[in-house]
Amino acid sequence: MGKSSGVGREVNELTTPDQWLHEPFAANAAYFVDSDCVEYVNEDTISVYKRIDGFLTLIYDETQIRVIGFKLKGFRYFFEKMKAHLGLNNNSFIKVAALIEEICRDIGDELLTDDARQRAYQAARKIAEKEAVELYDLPQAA
Amino acid sequence: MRAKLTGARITVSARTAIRLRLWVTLRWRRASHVGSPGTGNGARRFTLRNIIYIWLSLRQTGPGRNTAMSSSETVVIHPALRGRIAWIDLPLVKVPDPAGHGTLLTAKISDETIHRLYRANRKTGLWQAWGHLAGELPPIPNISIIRGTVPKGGLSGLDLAVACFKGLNRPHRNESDGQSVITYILNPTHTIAMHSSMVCVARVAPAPSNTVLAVYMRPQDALHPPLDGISGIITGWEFIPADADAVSLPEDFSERYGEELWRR
Repeated sequence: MGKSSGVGREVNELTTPDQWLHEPFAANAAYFVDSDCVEYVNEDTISVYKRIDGFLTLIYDETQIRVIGFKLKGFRYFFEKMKAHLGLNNNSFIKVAALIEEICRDIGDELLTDDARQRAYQAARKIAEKEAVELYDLPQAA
Repeated sequence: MRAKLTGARITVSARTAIRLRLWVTLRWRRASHVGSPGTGNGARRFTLRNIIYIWLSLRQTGPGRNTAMSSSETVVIHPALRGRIAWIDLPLVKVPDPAGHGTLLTAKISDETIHRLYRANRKTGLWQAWGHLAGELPPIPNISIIRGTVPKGGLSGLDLAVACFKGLNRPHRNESDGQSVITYILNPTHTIAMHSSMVCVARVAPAPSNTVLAVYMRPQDALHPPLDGISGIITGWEFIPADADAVSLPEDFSERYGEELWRR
């Protein structure tokens, strides 16, 4: 899986329907406004969402063994709280690995005492880091 | 920003022209960089329709930002796509009354979610919305080929929801605990997924083992502004692990949601 910069790899607004149908999937992080979450998957397949806590869900493929992405829930709240520390790049995108690190810092000691939860955050961060996941669709001010 | 449409020409203010040029340049560079499909190595068609679209995008989101889809209020769909892409034009759907009166209410599948999936080229999510929420196979070329592979009732449907919960016990938009969000639980045996094929890009497959399908809805009274004739907006759908004991319900269902409204 290549790098996922987001910009330019989304469906172009001039892409025709037929092109879209046969266009290969390219991984992008996206902020879903109505469900207030950021999702990233590196494969377009049947997936299973396993809740880790109130903020993180890991996304597995249909075998439920391989992690193919993650979902950051209640994103607007965290974004507003942390945007000063995230080093917004030209006010337009954030590196998701840095975001997950900030969330881990925010959770603090709770994470240190819960191995499974800690491993889940590490897995999400690893994907975000390895696949250079960036988020361009940032929540707008309420 | 001021712009005036006069016949086949658009007159814009100097400031708007600069913003327009900047935005077009950025988009052009991106397109050239990634070699956008169907645009001949980044070459763009500057038709009147496209310029109007660019102007609309600028007016709502500003230049250089990739946020044309960033909220349901600012969705800008290219006019060429309207009515042309049947598979992102989902119908209204029927959902069981959360109050448990046994009646069916009308809900809308979030345009914003659908268009996000479309923009991200996530076909599986779109096909699942058709199969599990709209109760139809996606209207894509050659879908009739897989029609015979769908077991009767295998995709379930919102009207066959087995349980309904309220509240998410976590922040959601402006709510600290997502108390307004309704979750329907479905038990499909099959689902629809993307399939790399020149003939039909969908396939029917067994649902992941030991899972249930959760469908999330923001009810009418939580919407600002409320929508006439709609009881809620369906914002998401996903397979989640089933409870080890109550296999038709989600794992940890008693702690996961605010309250259980009903189950069948």
